[in-house]
Amino acid sequence: MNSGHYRRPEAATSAFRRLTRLALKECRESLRDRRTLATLLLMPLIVYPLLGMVVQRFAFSSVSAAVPEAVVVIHDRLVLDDARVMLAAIDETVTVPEQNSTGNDELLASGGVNPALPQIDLPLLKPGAGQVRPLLRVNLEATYALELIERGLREGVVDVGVALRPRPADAPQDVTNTIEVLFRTGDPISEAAAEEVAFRLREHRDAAIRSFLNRMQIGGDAMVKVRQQGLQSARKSESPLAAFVPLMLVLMTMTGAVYPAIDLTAGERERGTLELLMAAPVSRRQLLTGKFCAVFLVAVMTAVINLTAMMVTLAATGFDRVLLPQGIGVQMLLQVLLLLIVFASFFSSVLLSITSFARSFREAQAWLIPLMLVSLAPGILSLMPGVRLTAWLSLLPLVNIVLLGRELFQGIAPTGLFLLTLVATAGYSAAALRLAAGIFGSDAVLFAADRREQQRAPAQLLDFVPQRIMLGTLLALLPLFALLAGLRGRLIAPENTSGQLLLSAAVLLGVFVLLPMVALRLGRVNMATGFQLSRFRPAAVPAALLLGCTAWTAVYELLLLAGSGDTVQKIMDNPVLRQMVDRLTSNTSLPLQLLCLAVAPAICEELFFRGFLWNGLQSMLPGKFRPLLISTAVFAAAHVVTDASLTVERLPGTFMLGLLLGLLRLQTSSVVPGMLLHFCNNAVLLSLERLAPAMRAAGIALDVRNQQHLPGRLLVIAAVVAATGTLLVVFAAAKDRREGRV
Amino acid sequence: MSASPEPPAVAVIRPASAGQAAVDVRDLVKEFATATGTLLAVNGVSMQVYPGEVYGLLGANGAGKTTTLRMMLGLQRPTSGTVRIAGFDAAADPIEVKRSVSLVSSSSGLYQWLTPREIMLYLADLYGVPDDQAAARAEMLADLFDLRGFMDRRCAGMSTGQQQRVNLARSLMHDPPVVLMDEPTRGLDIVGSRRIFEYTAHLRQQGKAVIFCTHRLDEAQRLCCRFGLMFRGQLKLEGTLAELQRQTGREHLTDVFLDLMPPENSLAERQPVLPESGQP
Repeated sequence: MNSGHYRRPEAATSAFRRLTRLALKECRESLRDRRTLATLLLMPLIVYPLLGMVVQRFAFSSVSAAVPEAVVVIHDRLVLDDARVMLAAIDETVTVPEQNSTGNDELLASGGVNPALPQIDLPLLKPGAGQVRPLLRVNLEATYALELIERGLREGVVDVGVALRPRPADAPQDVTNTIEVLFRTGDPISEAAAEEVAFRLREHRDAAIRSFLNRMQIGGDAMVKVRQQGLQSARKSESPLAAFVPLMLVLMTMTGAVYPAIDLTAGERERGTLELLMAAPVSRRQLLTGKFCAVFLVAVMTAVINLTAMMVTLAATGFDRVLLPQGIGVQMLLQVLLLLIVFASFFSSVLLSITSFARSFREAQAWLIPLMLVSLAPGILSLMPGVRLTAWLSLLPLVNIVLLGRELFQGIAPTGLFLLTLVATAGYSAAALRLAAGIFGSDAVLFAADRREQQRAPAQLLDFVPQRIMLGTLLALLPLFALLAGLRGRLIAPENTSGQLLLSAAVLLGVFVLLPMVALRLGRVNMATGFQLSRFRPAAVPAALLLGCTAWTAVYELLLLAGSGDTVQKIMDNPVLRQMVDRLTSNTSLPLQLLCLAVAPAICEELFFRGFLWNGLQSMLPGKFRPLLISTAVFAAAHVVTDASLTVERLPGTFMLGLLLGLLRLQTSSVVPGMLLHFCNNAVLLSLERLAPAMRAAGIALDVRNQQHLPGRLLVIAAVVAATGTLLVVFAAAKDRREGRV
Repeated sequence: MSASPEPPAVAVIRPASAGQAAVDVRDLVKEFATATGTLLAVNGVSMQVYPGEVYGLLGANGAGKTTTLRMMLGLQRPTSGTVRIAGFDAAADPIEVKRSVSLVSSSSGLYQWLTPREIMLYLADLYGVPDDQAAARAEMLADLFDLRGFMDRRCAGMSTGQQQRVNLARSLMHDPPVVLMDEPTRGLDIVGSRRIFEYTAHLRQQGKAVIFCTHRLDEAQRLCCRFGLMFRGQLKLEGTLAELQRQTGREHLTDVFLDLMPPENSLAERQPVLPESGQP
C-alpha cells in the first residue's frame, strides 16, 4: 500500500449516480431482511384470503339465514277472513287457508305463534334499501282481545296488532271505522312490519274504492294505481363497507413501510453506523433521500401486492359486486395505484421524520404506536357513509386519501379533487422529508444523551424544553382537548351559557397550562423559561395593543384578497359557530365573555403555543422559522376543533393570527406581548357588534356578511395603527440586539 | 498484518522539514447552554499532530475528549477556534475535511445484512472514491486484514473478531491521512486489543496522523509518541513521555494523570459514622 497522504480521491461520481447508489444500498439492506419480506409478502397473501373467507362465512350466511319474522295478530272485533283478505289481497301468490276460531288464552301461553296452527307468511312488497326487513307472519289461527294484543306487544310476543276502532254511534256521517296498526315503538322489526301492514291495508282500501267507482261508472281513472318500480342505475347506493377497502389498503401500506423506516434510521443508531454516516462527506439530505427511496420502494411494493391480493380475493369471493359498484376496471386500478404511490411517499417521509428522533428500535416503535392510532381516526371518519370529499377535506392528510380511495372505487371521484389530493399529499411528503433531513443525525439527536448528562450534573433546572417532554405532552394533549371540548356539552347543559363559557375557560387552563406545567415539573425544567415568560421591552406593550386592535382587519382583508371571501362567509354560516355565537351574545354579559373568550385564551394559548410548544420545537429543530411555522400550524389546527365538530373554514384566519403572534414572540423573546395582542384581537372581535353603532356614528359602516371590503377610512386608520405598532416592535428588537440581550 | 506488535520507540517522529501538521487545532472552544450559564465542554484546546505520529489524547470520562474529536470530524461545530485537517479548514471546507479523516470507535458497527465487500464499496461511494480504485482497494484491504474467507458473506453471521477486522478495513477505504480513534479497545478482549495495537502501528508505518483517545494509560504509553492530557475541557499537559516526566517529576503516566485530578478525600475519611450496634 502506498502512503496516499493528502491524495484526494477524485469526485468522479455525479450527484445523481451517488444518490442511486445510496438508495441501492438502503434497498438492499431492507429487502434482505426477512422481517421486511414477511410484512411485504406473507401478510397480504395470508390476511386477505383469510379475511375474505371469514367475512363470507359470517356476513353472507347471517344475512340470508336470519331474516327476522314479525308476528301479526288480529283484533277480535275484525272478522278474521276480512283481515286475511285485506292483508293478502294485493298478493295473488298467497293462498289463504280456511280456518276460523278464537283462542284468546292460548296466545301468551304458547309464547306467540303455534307453528302447528295455520298462518300465512307474506313476502315483502316494498323491499327496503339496505335495511333488514322482516317477513310478516300473520297469525290466522285466532283473533284476540285488544288488551291481550297490547299486552302481547309490550311483552314482545306480538310485533304488530291489527285492531278495529268502530265509529261511535253518535259520530257524524263522514267519520268511518278506523283500523289501527299497533306496534312497539323503538323496535325496528316491529316498526318495519307495521309500516308494511299499513301499506297493505291502504292498498286494499284503494282497490276497494277503485272497484266501487268502476261499478258506479264514475271516474274510475281518478283512483290511479301507484306502483313502485326499481331501475338499474350506474350510481348504486354505496355499501357501508366500501370505505373499508381503501382504509385497509392504506393501513397495509403503512405497516409495510414501518419496519424499513425504523431499521434505516433508528437502526443505524442502534448498530453504531450512524456516526460513520455523519462523519462521511455526504449531506444529510442526500443520505435521507437514499433512505426515503428505500422505504418508499418497500411501501409501494406493499401497496401493489396488497392491491393485487385484495382484488383477487374480492373477485374470488364475489365481494367485488357488493363493494365495488363499478366492478374492477383497469383505469380505476391505475388511479388507486397512483393514489397509493403518492400516499406511500407521504407516509414514508412522515415515518422517517419520526423515526429519526429515536435512539433505538424500541423507542421508534413506541413513537409510532401513537402515530398509527392517530392515523386510524381519519380513517374511521371516512368510514361514515355521509362524508364526501370536498376541497378542504382533500387538503387534510390521510382523510383525503381514504375518502378519495373510496370514491375511486365507486367511480365517482371528481378529477379536480383527485389532482388536488395528489398535489397536496406530495407537498406534505416533501415537507416531511425536509423535516426528517433536519432531524436525522442532527446534533440534538445524535448527542442528546451527552448533553443531558452534562446538564444534569448540577442539580439544576433545565432552561429548555426537551423534545420528549414537548412531544409527549402534545400527544397527550390533542386527544384530551378534543374530548374535553366534546364533553363540555354533557357536563353543563347547553342552555347554561355562562356555565359553558366558564367551563371552556377551565378546559383551556387545564389543557394548555396545567398539563404542560406538570410535564415541565416532571422533566425538571424551569417554568419561566419553559413557558418563555421572559422580560420584554416596555415598548412592546403599546405595540401589542395597537397590533391587537387592528389584526382582524388585516386578516379579514387578506382572506378577501386571497379569494377566500367565501371562507369568511362559511365561518359566518357555519351552524356550529353561528349557534355558539348566538347563544353567547344573547344571554351572557360582556365582562364574562371577555374573561372566558379573550383573557383565558390569550393567557393559556400563548403560554402553550408560543411558550412551551415553541421552546420544545426549538430544542429539536435548527433555526427560528421552523418553530414559528410548526407552532402556528398546530395553533391553527387546534382551533379547527369547535364543540366536538370540525370547522376547517377557520384554518386560514387562525393561521394568520398565529403567524402574527409568533413573529411578535420572535421579536420580543417573550410570550407576554403576544398575550396582550391575542386578548385585544379577541376582545375587539367580541365587541364588534356592540361597537358597530359607534362606528356608524363615525361614518364607518361594516358589512362583513356580504364579503365587502372594509370601509377605506377604517382601513387607513387600521394601517396607521398597525404600522405604529410594528415600528415599536422593530425598534425594541433592534435595541435588544444592540444591547446583546437576545 | 506486517506490523510488529512491539511497543514503538518513544522517539518523536516530527521532522521539522515535514512542516505542515496533518491535524492543526487552534483555541478550540465548545460551549453548551445550560441553566447555570454556559458549560465549557472544550475550553481553548490547541494541538498539532504530524504525519506518522500517534497522539494519545487522554482524560477521564467527561473531560472533553470525545467532543474535541467530534469537532475534528465535523460532527459538531465549534463555538470558536479553528480546525485544519490535511490543510483544509473545517469551517470553510467541511467536505474535504471529512474526506481526509476516518473514525474508528469501539461503538461503531456494521450493516448486518450487507457483506464486507458491499459495506466497503458503499463507504467508498460515500467518500467519492472512483469505482476502479475502490474495487482494487477493497481487494488490498481484504488481504491486509485477512478478510478473504468472508468478503461475500453477510456480516450477521460473523464472529466478533471478524466484524472488528471488517470495521478496521472499512476505515481505510478512502485512504485518509488522518485517523481518529475513540476508545477503540473498549470492551475488547486481549486478541481484539492486540489487533488494535497492530492496526495503529500499521497506520504509523503508513505515515498517517493518528489521534488515539483513551482513558487507559497503559495502552497509551505503549502506543503513542506524544500525549495530551485533558481535564475539564482544557489541555493541561502535552509532550512525549520524557517531556512529561521532566515537567512533573513523576515517572509513570498514571501519576502524572492523577496529579491533574482535584484532591479528593480518601475513602477512609469519607467513611460514614455508623451507630454502634447493641447500644440502646
